[in-house]
Amino acid sequence: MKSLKSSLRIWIAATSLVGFLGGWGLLAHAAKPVPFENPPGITAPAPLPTLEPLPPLNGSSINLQPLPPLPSSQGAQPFLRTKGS
Amino acid sequence: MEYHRFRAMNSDILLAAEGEATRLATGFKQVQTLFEDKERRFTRFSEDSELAKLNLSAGGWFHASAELFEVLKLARDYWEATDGLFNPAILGALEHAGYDRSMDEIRAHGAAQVATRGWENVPDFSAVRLDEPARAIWMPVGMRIDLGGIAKGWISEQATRELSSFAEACAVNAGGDMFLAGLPAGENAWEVALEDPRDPERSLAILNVGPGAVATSSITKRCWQQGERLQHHLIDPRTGTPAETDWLSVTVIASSAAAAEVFAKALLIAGSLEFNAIAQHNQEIAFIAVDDQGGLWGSNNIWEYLDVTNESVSR
Repeated sequence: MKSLKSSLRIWIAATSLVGFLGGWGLLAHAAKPVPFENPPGITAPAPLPTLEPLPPLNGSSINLQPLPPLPSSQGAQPFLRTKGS
Repeated sequence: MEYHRFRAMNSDILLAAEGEATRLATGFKQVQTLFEDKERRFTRFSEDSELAKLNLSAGGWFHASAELFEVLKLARDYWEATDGLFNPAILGALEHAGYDRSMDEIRAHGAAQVATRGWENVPDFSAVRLDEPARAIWMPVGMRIDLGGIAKGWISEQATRELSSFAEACAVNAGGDMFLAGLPAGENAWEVALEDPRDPERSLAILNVGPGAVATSSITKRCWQQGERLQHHLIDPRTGTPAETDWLSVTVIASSAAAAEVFAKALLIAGSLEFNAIAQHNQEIAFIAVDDQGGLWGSNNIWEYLDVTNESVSR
């Protein structure tokens, strides 16, 4: 039983070492990556056009109007007056 | 038209109504009592008022009457609608500017020449919490509010509604903040004179207004000397000091008296450079502003209310 355990340990260590060295060798001889280049006929995308700001919708802006002098009485003044409080 | 005049909330109150004389007399009496009751609740000049008790409760929950809760809720809505230019939490700043006693007292004896309170930032009104089911209000420690203007508008509307049950048509004018119900017999509008903020004896225009509200805010009415400075009561919440504006007064026509009062105040603080943000978001109101040269400026929709029958006026 003891010798079986020892043999198993040696077998696992040996196969791990062989696998590691094999993988290293395989990657070391693999083809190197090349930088990406656009295929012929394809150019970089053009920048998107910017949009003009939208004009205000009808009625959404308040114009402040200068008012002409207004009639302030037609004979007697009205009894209701609004003034600052 | 029958009239009844009295003084309340440091303002001249005028009631006008058409109807049967005995009923109108009863209505006038009831409305005067209504003003006196509401003034006791909303004044900041009495320690016994509900408003004063609310201000003392800052930092804890305050169980309010239905009326105070309703006005505070309106105030919060209008704080949002005016981008914070209407902010009832300006009381500390107002007192610092010298308005620490009633205007009647200031007119009789003058304001304190040295501020009785140190200057402080106007608190952020968004911190106020309202618990509607419990009708409870929470304000952060240090916040004190003044509901003077908005409460006066709200009360004039309540008073008009009460008076209208005794009259065919009626109007309540509380120091320039008015609410109108019905129309005078044979007329299609109420005529309201717009007072010149530079000369109270003069009018600048006649507004033809249907049932609804008209209110004016001005920096020339409630003003006083504090040391070498001429102060007024419209505090800009962004600076905590009396607003520096190129308009002397703004008059707003709106469907509710509280709205007319609040927007008149906010537009006046904003002035010609900043009015547009408020006006754009609240296009249901019409307004007319008077600049420091007496020039008149109006919103697009103000023409509906102007008397332009005189040939000298053309659009």
